[in-house]
Amino acid sequence: MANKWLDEIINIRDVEGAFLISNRGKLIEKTQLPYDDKAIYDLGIRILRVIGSFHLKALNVTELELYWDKYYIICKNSADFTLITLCKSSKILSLLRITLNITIANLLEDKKFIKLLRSQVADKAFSLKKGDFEEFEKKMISKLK
Amino acid sequence: MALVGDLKDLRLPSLIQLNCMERNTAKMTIAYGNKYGFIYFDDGQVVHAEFDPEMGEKAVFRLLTLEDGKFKVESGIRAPIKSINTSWNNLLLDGLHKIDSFVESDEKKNHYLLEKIFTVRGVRSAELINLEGERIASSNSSEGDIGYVYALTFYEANKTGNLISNGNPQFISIAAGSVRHIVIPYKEDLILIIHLEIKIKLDLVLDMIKKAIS
Repeated sequence: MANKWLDEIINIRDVEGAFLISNRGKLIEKTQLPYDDKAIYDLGIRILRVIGSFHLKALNVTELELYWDKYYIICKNSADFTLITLCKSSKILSLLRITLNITIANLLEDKKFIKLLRSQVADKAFSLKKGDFEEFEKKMISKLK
Repeated sequence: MALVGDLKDLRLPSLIQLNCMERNTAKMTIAYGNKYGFIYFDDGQVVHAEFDPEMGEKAVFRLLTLEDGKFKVESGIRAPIKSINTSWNNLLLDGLHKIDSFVESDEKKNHYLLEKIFTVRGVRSAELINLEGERIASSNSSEGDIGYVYALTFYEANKTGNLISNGNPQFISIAAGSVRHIVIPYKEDLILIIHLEIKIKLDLVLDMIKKAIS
């Protein structure tokens, strides 16, 4: 269903894969990825916790990008879901960002996808309220509230 | 009318940046004890400077080390000669890099780091926090205090790096509203936060930021 939109992303050279998660942290859709589902879930939750922490301070995150030397995680956040893309080259980042914007627009017009998402609706700070937290996270989250 | 003031209130890098961003043509006179220095701006570029016995870029670098003194900016006065060809932001970056070696205390080093960051196009403000989210230094005291958000962001980003066997990320960029928040590890135990205008493309200023913090 949403996979046809994600395929547009992985057609770009040096993109390793992409996945969609709801604000509740549920994996909605994914392309082929070099990581197992547990790692993808953990990665998604880390991303959601960043977005949630900004949300608690009334800052609406629309993009989140992590840069390593030769590896990039590019995330686009919409109201109820986040699209996360993994890629290995900085040269394609501009094209990738444009493609992600188009993908988000297509997803928001996909009635089946929106219907599926309805069962997953939660506020953006959901990931800071439920789940397993390490001591440092607990400490920071308590200070954010 | 001339703009007059004290370098304790408005530091020279900020003054230079202000005149350049406003694309001013002006003469700035700096009185330090019984010595006088001059910086000339032409359409927003620093084109000439004097600070006895230095002239050109060396004079700017020496003037940048002054922590007090009086200044006067007179609009419309053109330079008698052109002794500087470097763009103003590179001139400031180089100058602040040079005086780093004279700076000893951590407090001053942090202060100069933030001033260097300020020379990057589109930077609204910058701050340094520790890993617990407590503010160590800031370019703008009125900036909202959300250090814990950045500390948690840094922590989660590092954990993400571990998940994909890549270690800690070099840069984290978060677009929220009209601001892009850049989170960068700095030394072993600090985090540099840069608040960038959202319309500025990160790819265009990343090298400038890297140069400023190197």
